[in-house]
Amino acid sequence: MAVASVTDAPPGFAVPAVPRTRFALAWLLACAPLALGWLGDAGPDRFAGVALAPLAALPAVLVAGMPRRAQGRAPLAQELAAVLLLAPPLAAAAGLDVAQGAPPARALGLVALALAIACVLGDAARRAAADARSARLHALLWFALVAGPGVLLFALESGGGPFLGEAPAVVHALWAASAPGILAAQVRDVSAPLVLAPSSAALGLAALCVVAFAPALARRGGMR
Amino acid sequence: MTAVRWDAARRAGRVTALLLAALALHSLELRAQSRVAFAELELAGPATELRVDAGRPGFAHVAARLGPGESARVLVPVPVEPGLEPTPPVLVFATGTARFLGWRAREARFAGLPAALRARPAPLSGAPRVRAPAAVLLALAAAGALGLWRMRAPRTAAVLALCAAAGAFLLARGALSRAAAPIEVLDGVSGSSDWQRQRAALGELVLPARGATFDLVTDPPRARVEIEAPLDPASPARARARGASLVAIWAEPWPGAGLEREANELLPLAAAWLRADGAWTFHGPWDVGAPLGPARSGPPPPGWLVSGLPQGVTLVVGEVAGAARSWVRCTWP
Repeated sequence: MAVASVTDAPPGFAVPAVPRTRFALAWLLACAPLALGWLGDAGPDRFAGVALAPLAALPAVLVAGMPRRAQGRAPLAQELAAVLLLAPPLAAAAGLDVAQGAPPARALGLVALALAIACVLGDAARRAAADARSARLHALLWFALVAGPGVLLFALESGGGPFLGEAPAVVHALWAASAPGILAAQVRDVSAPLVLAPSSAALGLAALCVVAFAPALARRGGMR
Repeated sequence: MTAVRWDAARRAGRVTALLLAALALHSLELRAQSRVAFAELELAGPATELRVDAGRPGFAHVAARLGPGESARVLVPVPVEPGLEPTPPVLVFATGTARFLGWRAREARFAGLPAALRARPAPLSGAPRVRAPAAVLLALAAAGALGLWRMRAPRTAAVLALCAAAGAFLLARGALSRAAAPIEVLDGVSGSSDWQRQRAALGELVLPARGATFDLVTDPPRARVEIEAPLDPASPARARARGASLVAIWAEPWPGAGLEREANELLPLAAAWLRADGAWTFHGPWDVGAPLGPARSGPPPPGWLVSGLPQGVTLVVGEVAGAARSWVRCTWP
């Protein structure tokens, strides 16, 4: 494939590949919410009304964009195919959501949004793997803007319990704008309209752009 | 001093136990209480939509297409708080006028249902488990393994993933919808022409035909209920309560000797079971007009259908043929 030649692999060396184990893990984690209903015995379902599509999309978005070792860029087509591999579990979860009463546009829209975010974050991780400096910067930004806010919020409010009180507003704002935060906000009620404040959407888009393009810009600056 | 403290502690313990018992009894009582009252309204056109707001318990929405000068007197089921006297609802009309005439009692047939019938346990609402069917999980596993194996051939992997995604979506959507169908049980006592029908579903329930009065029980007992009650007799009324189990109970006239050992004058049964002397026997299908067939080997009756039924009497239960998830129970003297 033509795209396979756009890599940073030195001549004579093998073309770097997308981390297959990592995507296999993301796929397994995306399937996990589908098994929630198999837990426990019959009776009213504890998970009835919970939207499964955003729940299944959370690990897909997190694992696909996770920082990688600086071992050269994998081909873009491979990266996109690897992200698309996560589409079947997400689509199955969307199917269950529609059966539970979610409007199809909401369920399928969420799947499309999650796959788009996974593509952007996955591609950012792929491009940042070209050299050690970009990889380091990408890892830092990814933690600060994608995974970190959720971890910090959980650590402060759930881990810290009543002793630490409420997390600062900035942590809440970062979490609401982060990709996992946007998806997590849609989990609570399957039939409710999408929960996305314009300010969070704008901030989230800005965060995605920073994670996606900052390492590349830094590399260009470094090369000069 | 220590004795005094012990006495105080014991007294406090007793009061707490009493309070807890009262709370438990109250919640059990609420569980069986109806969530609807019937409001008699007078509507005058031109009118299209009316919202009968009962506050916290919910509201009823009436689609009333009345022309100018037309008027109608209607009976609308309105959600009420269990265990409390209903208060007059707030009527919100976009156009036209509406007047609340008062609450109406249940019809005589329903009010006169034997206590033995009213005590029959409600069917399980068939709560759909939010889980992917085995076929979906197998399809996902196959697609995942193939996709990972063909990852070096991105186009093949992408096409495979998209096809599997479409299939998984359609399979998952169809499977859960079937499980969420309502379930019905027709209960009778041999010799009485007043039968009781119970219809249960999760989240949304089609209510009995307009004009019939009924009870509506929800679990949780205080779930917010929304009722859609169109004036058009061709469209059924519906009750909705998100995430709650709904059971509608009403009276129906059926022959008192509808289900006798000598002849079935009620409904064709795909399978029938008889409990005589405390033991259940399977009797296979039971057609209309035919006597109950001899006992033969077969499956036991569904546990939810026969649990909580009165002891010491002969009982027959059956699955109605040609109607999905519809059952009959009848006691013989």
